[in-house]
Amino acid sequence: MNTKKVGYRDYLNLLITYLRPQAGRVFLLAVLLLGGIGLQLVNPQLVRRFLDTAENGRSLTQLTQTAILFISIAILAQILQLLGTYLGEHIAWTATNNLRADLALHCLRLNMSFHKTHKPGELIERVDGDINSLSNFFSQLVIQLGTNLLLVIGVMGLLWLVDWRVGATISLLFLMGLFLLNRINRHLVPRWQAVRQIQSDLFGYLEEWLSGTEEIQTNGAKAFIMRQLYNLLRQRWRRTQSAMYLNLLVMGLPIFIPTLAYVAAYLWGEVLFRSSVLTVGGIYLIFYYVDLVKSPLWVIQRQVQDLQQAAASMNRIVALLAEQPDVDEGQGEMVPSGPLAVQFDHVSFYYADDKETRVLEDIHFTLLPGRVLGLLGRTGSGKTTLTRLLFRFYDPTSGVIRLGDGNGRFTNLRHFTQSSLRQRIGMVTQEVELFHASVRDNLTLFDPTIDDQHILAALNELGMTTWLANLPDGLDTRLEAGHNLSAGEAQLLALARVFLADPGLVILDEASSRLDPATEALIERAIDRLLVGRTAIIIAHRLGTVQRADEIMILGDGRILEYGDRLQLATNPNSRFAQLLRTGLETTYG
Amino acid sequence: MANQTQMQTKPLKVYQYLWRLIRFRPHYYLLDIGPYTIHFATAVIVGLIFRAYFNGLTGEGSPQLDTWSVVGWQMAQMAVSLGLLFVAVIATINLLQHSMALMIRNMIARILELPGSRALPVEKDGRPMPVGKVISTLRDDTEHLAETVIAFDDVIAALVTAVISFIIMARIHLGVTLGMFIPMVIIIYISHRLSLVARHYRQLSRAATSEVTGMIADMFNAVQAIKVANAEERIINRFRQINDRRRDAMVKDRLVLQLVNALSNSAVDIGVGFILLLAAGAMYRGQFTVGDFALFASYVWPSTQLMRRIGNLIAMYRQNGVSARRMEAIMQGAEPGAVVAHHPVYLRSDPPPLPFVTKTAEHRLELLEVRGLTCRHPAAEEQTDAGVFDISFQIPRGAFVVVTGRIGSGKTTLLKAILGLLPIEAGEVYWNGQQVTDLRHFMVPPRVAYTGQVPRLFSDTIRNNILLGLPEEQVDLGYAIKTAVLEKDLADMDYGLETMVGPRGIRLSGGQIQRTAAARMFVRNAELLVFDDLSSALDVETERLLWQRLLATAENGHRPTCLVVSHRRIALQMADRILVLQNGRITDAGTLDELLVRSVEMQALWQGEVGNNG
Repeated sequence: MNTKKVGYRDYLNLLITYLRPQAGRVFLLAVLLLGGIGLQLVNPQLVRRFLDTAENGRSLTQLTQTAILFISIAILAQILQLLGTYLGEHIAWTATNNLRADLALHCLRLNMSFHKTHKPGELIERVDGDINSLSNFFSQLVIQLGTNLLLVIGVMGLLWLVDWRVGATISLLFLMGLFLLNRINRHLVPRWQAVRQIQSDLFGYLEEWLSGTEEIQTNGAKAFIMRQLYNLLRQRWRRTQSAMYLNLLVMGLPIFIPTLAYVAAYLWGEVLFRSSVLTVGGIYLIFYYVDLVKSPLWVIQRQVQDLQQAAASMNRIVALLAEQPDVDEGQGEMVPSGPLAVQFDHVSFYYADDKETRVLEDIHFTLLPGRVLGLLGRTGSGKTTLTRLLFRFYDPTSGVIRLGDGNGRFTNLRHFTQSSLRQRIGMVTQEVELFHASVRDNLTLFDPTIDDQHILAALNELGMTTWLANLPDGLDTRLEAGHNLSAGEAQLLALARVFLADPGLVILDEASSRLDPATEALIERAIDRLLVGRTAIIIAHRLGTVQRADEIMILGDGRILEYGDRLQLATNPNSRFAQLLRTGLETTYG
Repeated sequence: MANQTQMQTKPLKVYQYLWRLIRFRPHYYLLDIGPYTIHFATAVIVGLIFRAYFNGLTGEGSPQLDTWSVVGWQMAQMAVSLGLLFVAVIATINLLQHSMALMIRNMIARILELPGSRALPVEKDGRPMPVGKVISTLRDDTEHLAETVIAFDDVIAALVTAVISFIIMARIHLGVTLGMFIPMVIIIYISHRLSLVARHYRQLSRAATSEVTGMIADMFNAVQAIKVANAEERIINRFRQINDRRRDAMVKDRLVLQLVNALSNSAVDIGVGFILLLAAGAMYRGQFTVGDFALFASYVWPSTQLMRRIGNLIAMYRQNGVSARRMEAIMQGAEPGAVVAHHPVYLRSDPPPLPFVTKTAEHRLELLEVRGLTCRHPAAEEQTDAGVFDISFQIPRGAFVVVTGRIGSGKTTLLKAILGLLPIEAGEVYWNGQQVTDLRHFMVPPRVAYTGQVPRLFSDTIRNNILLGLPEEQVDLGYAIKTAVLEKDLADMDYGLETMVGPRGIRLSGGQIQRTAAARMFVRNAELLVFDDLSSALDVETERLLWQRLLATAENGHRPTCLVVSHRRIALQMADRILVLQNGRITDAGTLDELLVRSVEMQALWQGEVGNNG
């Protein structure tokens, strides 16, 4: 992931994109906040009037009235602010929830090569941790920073009205403060970014370890893992400390600048009082206004700090959003219905970051609709990659893959939309990925348009009715792999998923390994039903699984070593397949 | 063991957690609280300077100071205040980092201490806590607890300052002082009541947040399934619903907290307003100078800070109850408070070198015996795979014992129970005739090594994944790689052993992951090797080669003893003895030839394979 510099334009764009749908609320929020600021600016003028009235010893009633008016305005200002908070939080969470969902969708759409290099824990930190900082950016920063800046500007303007010399001196001091803050923060951003990075590393590793407790125990690796943990914690401490040292300057300024402003007020106050330009009330007003912006300056300081963290988060989010799938969305054609034909036309493939090793080399074959291809080969021979190309997880480096309908019309895979492609091709892998969600959601993958009858029919077809009947809440039972689900049942669920999707091409990737023969027989029957009227490519290490294939392809180091009709190959004693059958049988019969 | 996890534990009070955290690194605490309190209390001096300045200006009351002395005092106050603040902030960061490191360390140490297959806590619904939820506790709850310590210090500093302010003000004018404090006390009371409400909303928002984190974890763990099923948008729609629920909970949570804040904010202005109201008469009569007013007004803010911070602390303290309970849930039956027990965290010093246990005669296996072993799956009564019952068998040195049976017959459960990955309910395991009381610490390398059905790799190099901390110069890495049939794969990789495997080993193929895990087992040079269906992602040729190479070491006089779960013929044929498991019980045992003659189940399992081969 490249971390390119993100400017204020990017902040602004992001802000506008996600705030526009809530324009009405944003406007109401602005009104509330501006009203609050106005009231806060008015109140000190009452104090001035009070002090001057008291000093001149005029009317006690007038003094009391002023005091009561002061209290009323103070309460009203707080009410406005509370309403503003509610509205602000609501707007912020709505906006960041939308961003969160968009970012998650974007990540899901990125290629598998992206997901091979980014831990789930890391993505959690991006999609949740970083966006939470952004939620701060929306609610706290934009609103509070904005209102506080307006308050500071208002106070400065009023100070110029009190006396231009006082206004000028104090404005200059505060401008200097903001300038310095800005300068320091430029150096601070990378340090906070480093803190966030180690944070995401730490929790990424923790996630892996928590999923690997069996390995850690049985390999006696507890001490090793603890040592890794100590190293990560130490780095987090060091980086936080390094950021904090610089941060001290940012914390010191809001004390330093108001103190200088006090000093200016002392000196000008003396001069202006002696020359009768200002009354005591007028001089006190200067201090009151300085106090009024002292606290906002604290807030601005804190918010600017958060802005740095948000900037660091935003850097990573924008970088993540800039990641483009290296496979395009396709050109809009729909995959035909019915069983599909598959054609590989001199297809070669290697990974972009490793041009030395050809993963697939000149793969050339045509599989007619309804036929079943058995794919054989050692680990790493390219079997898995070949099938992944059909989903366009990757595009071939050279050559063309086509899908055909029943009438012999073939179309380049890249002309189909990705979604129609994935609708028409189904896959069962040995690793079944489940959600902490209901059985129904796990089967339909959250598709509400599939009704229960279809689901029950699919489960019935696979002989899982008894299993379902034993679940406490039927289709609404929450699933937990390894807990209320055995590996075989998970496989059957995966098959049911494909049943429901009703594809024209099915890919079975090592689907029946690691199961005992009895369960396997159940699954074999399910597969038999699944393959009726569908084209299939079956990957298996074991010959038994390939027996239902019409055609056999043996891959080795990315090339086709042998390809042909299964029965013909089996009867030709010189074929590799026949040889494999013999060694396979030797294996089993000794 | 089972009793221990179910034991009713009496949780500590929140302050007891905080107190232990403070005592963990007391010098940071003292460096925080001392300087910070003085820093905050210097605000009192500012009021006195104001008073002397305005008194000097109007020529009324005392003391009076000339303007240049005022400026001098003001600058001195700032210098002291800033210097102390810096000391306190650095101490705070150290305190927070050490406290959080301690709690994370303790939770991870506890998780790794528990039986490996029961390491994560079981939730109310009987299911293991999702990893995402555990992570959110490790990340957020530790931080909440640590920050509460700091919140205490904030209150103490404000309290000291308020007391000093009160004394100074009372000496000037008791009536106005009391009149100013009374509305503030009322406001404290209201915010206190409100913070009770805050706790409830906090729990709701935490639960909603866990849902979101858990869903994100699921999504990214299942990327491939989602893509293949074209389900991206549907997943995101569900995700949006969960997000909306969190927003509603969050807004309520924040609103209550902000209400508490708003109350104390308005206290400043209301305080000033009451001074105006009460001082009006006194000033009218000339008993209260403008200087006095300036002093009173400048003390309002520090005094309201006390209210505000107490309110904040109460809210945080209550939320800490939630955090502490979540952390205790992860500590699963450990002594209450163990999560804040003091241990080194090695932030300032290097962690100790990794222990390396050299294999000696005392590790040698002559005979492993299992007697009457029962291990039940908790909360799985309705399951077919309910556990294993009354299992007894023996493995003599050098034997190759295969456990076979259908899915759900308890094969994996049996291995895990023997290894101490699952707590056993009844029965014993004997090593050379000696009963093993603490399986999970005993059945580890160099006595026993194990490869599970779905081995997990970590984001690191292949070398580090195999070694997992073993000193390379003291083990035979080459032998392990060769035996695991991994040497050709490594030669084909550009970086060989230094290849990064990616998250959970995702950059390797299934077979490579499994053989890396096998090499990890072999490098540990253990007396007993336990394989759970090692061959599931291996082709026949590779599997044969692996067994050949492993057993060829017999000639060197240390043919390893093997306990293998498999239903594949290649393994069954090599077995000296086969145990047939049915519904969690051993229904027959013997050599393959014997069993094929007399065991119907064995025949079915064997024929299943034959049938597949046509």
